[in-house]
Amino acid sequence: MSLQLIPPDVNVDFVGKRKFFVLLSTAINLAAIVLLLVKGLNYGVDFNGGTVVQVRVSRATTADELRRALAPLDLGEITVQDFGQSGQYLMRFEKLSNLKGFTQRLDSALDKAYGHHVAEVLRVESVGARVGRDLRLHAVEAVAAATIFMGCFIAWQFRNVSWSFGAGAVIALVHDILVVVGALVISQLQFDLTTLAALLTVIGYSVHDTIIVSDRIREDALKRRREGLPEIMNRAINETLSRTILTSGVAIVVLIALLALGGPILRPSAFTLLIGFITGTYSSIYIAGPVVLFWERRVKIKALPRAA
Amino acid sequence: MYRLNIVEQNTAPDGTWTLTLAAEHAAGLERFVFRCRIAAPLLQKGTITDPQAACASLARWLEGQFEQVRETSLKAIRSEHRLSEFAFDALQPGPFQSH
Repeated sequence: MSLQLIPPDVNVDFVGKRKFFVLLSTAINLAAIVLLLVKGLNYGVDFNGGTVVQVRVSRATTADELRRALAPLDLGEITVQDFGQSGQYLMRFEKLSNLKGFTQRLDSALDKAYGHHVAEVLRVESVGARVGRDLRLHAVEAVAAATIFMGCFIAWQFRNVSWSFGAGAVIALVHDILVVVGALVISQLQFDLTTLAALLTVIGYSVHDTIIVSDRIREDALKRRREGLPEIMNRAINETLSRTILTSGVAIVVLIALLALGGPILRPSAFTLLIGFITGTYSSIYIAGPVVLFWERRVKIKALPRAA
Repeated sequence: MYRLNIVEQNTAPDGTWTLTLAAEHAAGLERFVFRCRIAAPLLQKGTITDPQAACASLARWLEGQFEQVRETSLKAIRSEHRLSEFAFDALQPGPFQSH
């Protein structure tokens, strides 16, 4: 007996329920935009500028003790993250007016508070505010360029069925980006270069899933010229449902493991990928297709040219 | 410009040196720490008699490998909370190759 998680004759009416899910997605996207404007992302030092110091302390200590040790340096508000049993701590502070000689001053302050060679500074990284701003701008440009290029490519590839497939893909991508960004705002996980890389990966995955469904629609449109576009679309989604669920499911299981066991450094990118893969699967079914239907007021499929 | 300083120096019973080094940006923007392990035969063959001389040789080596060493070291500290280690022995003598 073969394993069949999704029966081959499944026939869920996805297209019939599209209005509810489009409204739901619109509400979620609007909420994400509001959250982004009101609360904002928790930018890392790459995008915000500031200084990060990672220290190893060979005796038991606390975040408050570390802050007190650095108080003479007048660094303003210091965020301290404890890495647990490694005895390592990550400290972040926004502004450092005079970087010159900072590492020596840091060593002196820690030696004074803890004793010689008890606290060891393993890394110091500083990013100027201007560089942080430029990186943020480039990040937005990268995401926008990827989205627009994907949309144009898909529109061209599916032009024989409908130019609106490109629009459907772009809107699904924008939806996915907003959902992921909204989740990052709520969770306040750090948004840094690795999170940005995860977001760009989500864009690639989401459009890949959309292409799978769109390609099946194109195939079915060739075979079933008498049927309307909603019926063709629903059939195509049901036919690819098993592949979609299994592929996404496997990836999601891996990401859950990464989120649970990957530790604090991997958590933001694992979280981004997890939310992105879930919403990418959802948008391929409930966003891209309805956009095409909305665009194409008629239900007849255009005559397709004979394959070469 | 970066300065290379010795943070710690250990000698194993077989004579192998383990130097913990800190590379610091001159303007204070950055620091990363890494380890170099130098096999005893290399030290005996060459003209390295004290850790400061070894550090000077490693500084020249670091100039040619800077980005790789920097990325490896920062990644090891950030993600794995450990210092990256670079070993020099008969197979890979690095800057301690005797002429």
